[in-house]
Amino acid sequence: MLIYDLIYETEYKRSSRVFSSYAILIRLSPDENRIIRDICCDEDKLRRLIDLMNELELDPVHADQVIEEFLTDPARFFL
Amino acid sequence: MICNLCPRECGVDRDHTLGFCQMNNTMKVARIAPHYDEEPLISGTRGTGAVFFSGCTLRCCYCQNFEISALCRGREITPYELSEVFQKFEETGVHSIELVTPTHFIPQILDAFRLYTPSLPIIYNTSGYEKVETLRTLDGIVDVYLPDFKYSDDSLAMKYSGCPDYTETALSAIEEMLRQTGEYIIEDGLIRRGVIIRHLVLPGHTKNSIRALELIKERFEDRAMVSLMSQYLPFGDIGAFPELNRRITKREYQKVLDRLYALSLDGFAQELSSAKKEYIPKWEFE
Repeated sequence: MLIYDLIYETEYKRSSRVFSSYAILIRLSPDENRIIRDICCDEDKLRRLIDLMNELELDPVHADQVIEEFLTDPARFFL
Repeated sequence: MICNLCPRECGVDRDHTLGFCQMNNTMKVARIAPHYDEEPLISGTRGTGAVFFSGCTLRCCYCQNFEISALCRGREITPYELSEVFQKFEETGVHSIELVTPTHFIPQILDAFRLYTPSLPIIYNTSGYEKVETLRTLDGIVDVYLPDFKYSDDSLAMKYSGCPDYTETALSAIEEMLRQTGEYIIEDGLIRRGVIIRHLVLPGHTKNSIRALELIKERFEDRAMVSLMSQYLPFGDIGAFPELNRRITKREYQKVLDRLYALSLDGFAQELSSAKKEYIPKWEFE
């Protein structure tokens, strides 16, 4: 089962423009989801991370830390 | 008018040509309205009367106000009309008048002050990239300076703002600001005189921020207040800089906060959630 998925969000309004970014949806159980919002604006990069998190079956308890590490040093994740 | 108002010193005749700031000698403004989203010591309960000038002498690639700083949108205004704005602000009951990015229009603004001298405190909101001799023309007029101190690393300043000498130039400018205002004075919950130094934390650049705070402490001790900002959003012209295409993380901000507290600097720190709010004003381009 895929635990992690990509969400596209438009949260902020600035004059007549809208700011969009990507979030990660975490399916904790059939009835419970969690969203880590506004991670970055690069869809491709985030999809690669999500694919890796699903491939490794990353426990959601580590998701925040992994995302933090990914944002500060993305090159380390895709050797 | 041959312009050398700012450290860019482009030396062009702005009666006929645009300067680095992309402005000629006709004042242009993007917004004139009470502004409630500054630091609490400035906005208070009734806001500050803010005048956002179009154009900019720094033009950082990540500017959240790039529609006016880089695209230079706005409407023309004369010194007489600006002096009327000062009078109207007094009538609205705002706590102060705030001039935002005014450097390249200082002569015209001084003309407006000659026509009418407001009784409200005057706040000068700037990128920090200022010439000391230009600031001296404001001595006795500005009550509160609100400079950014963006970079402790000139290679970063060059990369994101095309500015090879930002660090020392801004530090010297802030020293002049402190000479004019003295140490900060707060009355009834509002700053009446002094300098508040702003620093915006950029994604992936906590070292720059930490060193910036250390430089503020080394050079100014506790004479100025510090306002640490977390509101960075990936706006502006950052296509060439993918590392800027995100907000700062909690860990990054906490690292900088920890250093702020360790240095015992007086001032404020935005909550990290601040980037979610509408800190970018609605412009008036007509």
